[in-house]
Amino acid sequence: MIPAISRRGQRPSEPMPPPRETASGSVLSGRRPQSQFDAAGLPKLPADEIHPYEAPFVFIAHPRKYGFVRTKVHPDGEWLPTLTPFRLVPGANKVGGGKDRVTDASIANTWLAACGFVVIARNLGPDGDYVREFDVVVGGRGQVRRIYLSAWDHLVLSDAELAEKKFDMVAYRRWLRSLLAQGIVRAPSLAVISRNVAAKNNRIERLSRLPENVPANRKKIAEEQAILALMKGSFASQFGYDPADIEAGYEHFASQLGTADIEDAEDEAELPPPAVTVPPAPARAASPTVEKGQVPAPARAKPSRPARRDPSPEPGSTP
Amino acid sequence: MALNTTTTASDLLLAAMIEKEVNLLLFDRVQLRKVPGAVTYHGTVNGSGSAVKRVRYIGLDGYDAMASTGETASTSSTTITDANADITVARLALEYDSTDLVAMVEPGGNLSPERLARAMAGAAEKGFNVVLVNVGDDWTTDAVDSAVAMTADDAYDASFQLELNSVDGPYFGMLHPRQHTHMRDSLRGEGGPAQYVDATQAQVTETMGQGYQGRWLGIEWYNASQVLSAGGKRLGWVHGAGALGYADGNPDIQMGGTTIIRPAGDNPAVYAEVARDAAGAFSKVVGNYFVGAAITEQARGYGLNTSST
Repeated sequence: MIPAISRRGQRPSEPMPPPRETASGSVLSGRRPQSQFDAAGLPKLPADEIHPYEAPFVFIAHPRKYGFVRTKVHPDGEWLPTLTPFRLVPGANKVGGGKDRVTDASIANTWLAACGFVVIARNLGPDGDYVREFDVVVGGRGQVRRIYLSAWDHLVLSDAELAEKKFDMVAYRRWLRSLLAQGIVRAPSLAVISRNVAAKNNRIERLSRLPENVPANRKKIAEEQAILALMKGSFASQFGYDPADIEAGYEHFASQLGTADIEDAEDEAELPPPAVTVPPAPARAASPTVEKGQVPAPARAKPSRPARRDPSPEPGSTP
Repeated sequence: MALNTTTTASDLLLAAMIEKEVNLLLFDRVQLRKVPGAVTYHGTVNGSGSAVKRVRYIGLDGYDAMASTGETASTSSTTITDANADITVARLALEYDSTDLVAMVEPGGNLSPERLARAMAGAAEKGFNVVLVNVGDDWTTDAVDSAVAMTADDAYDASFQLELNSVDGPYFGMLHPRQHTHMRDSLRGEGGPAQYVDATQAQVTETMGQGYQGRWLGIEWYNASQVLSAGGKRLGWVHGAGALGYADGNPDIQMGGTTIIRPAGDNPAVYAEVARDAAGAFSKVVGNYFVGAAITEQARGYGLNTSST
């Protein structure tokens, strides 16, 4: 369920500093003027990175959205959920404007649930919220805006005029793993992984039709096959499935249904194409050598083209 | 001998002579609403009793197949399959205030209320882009989900996904420019009969609109720099006609103290009002656009998530 979120306020507001107790009494020192906010120290982001209706968001997960990731920490790869930010932009995907600048997500909530999406509660993020707000300057010289990014998005200030948005993938993936471990995001079903594996299989099959004599093609196929093997292996080790089931071949399906025992089913399995020995191509006949002074034999005449039935008139000729 | 220079005659010269012509700053001018056939228009909410437009679907005209039935057998009634999708219309707005003095002295009329009102047409289209990219990342199935650069193989997977699900064409691919450059780079190593057809200038200006890049694998590819990113990936997508829809509202404003300007001939739902503040000696130009967009049929579109760097 998406909580009601107010979009009120577009300027930073610092709390008043507490009074200092002195011998003269409690002294209030005030704060810097909020109406004259100094934009000079704020990061500048490209205008296209800042949506004019930038709104808070919630992450949503779907049982079908899983990706396979290989990292140095997990060289054998792992399956991680793909989360999507659902931004509370009024007008987008059934989010309403609501009253008093409070976004109305009631219809959006119903729709998300009907589609099978699960809303990840914001308080599950690091330090109690995975949303962070930044005050930035639009473009090189625009106005100050408040934008909302994830807890893993950072703005890097360098010598360049514009700040660079960087994403802390390591910490983000660690968080995804914790969501999986806690059961907040459901482990993928066999069907979801089988579909991903089938797509990879199809890709390999497509690639195998490319000319074999191109080294790049052979390399590509070998890489994809290696990834496919890792995809199956890590699914088995991560979620405890039998690697054989991931193939979802009909022989295993039959054995699961009990219509045949595994030996029978394997008997029905299709075999790969039989190995065929391709005879070597006949050597090209050597061209006849011509002795000095001899007249070479006339070359075989090329078969003449059939005459066009309805020749088009020559350009400029009259019909 | 005293030499007269630009320094000595500084009171007679200007520090800079401004050009009358004003050039637009660089920004992505794609207008996704105008991509032909990509987003279906479902009308206005005017007088409908709700800000939510419910798009209705019915499974007829071949959705249910006739079954072979015995010569004398009685038939039984079949329940008609139906579905619906909601589009919530909300307000997009932008305000420019311009004092009388600045409008008076600016030489090209670029800060006049009329010029600022005309600018609302482009601002509304950009607002629509924002709404649409926030819609286009919410597919329930991804054709591709990869943290590495987009390849030609990813485009093949996406096009096959559309075909395998019998999605009606034409097909559209909405990518962040970064994704598109990755794909074009990968295409350099491709062979075979599939040809990338680059957009021509005439297509961009006359038929397909800004952002159109070309056609490949039966998909019309568009770039939009506003395509969102999450988790180090850009959340592009592919979809067929009918996957996305939008609705709008067209308020009936009584002419009164404000001047109403309809800045966009091809989008009558956008309007701008010029209000005067005599005490402050300035004009307030406010553009409004009531619009909403949504995924109307999930099965017609798929996410295409690839590296954002």
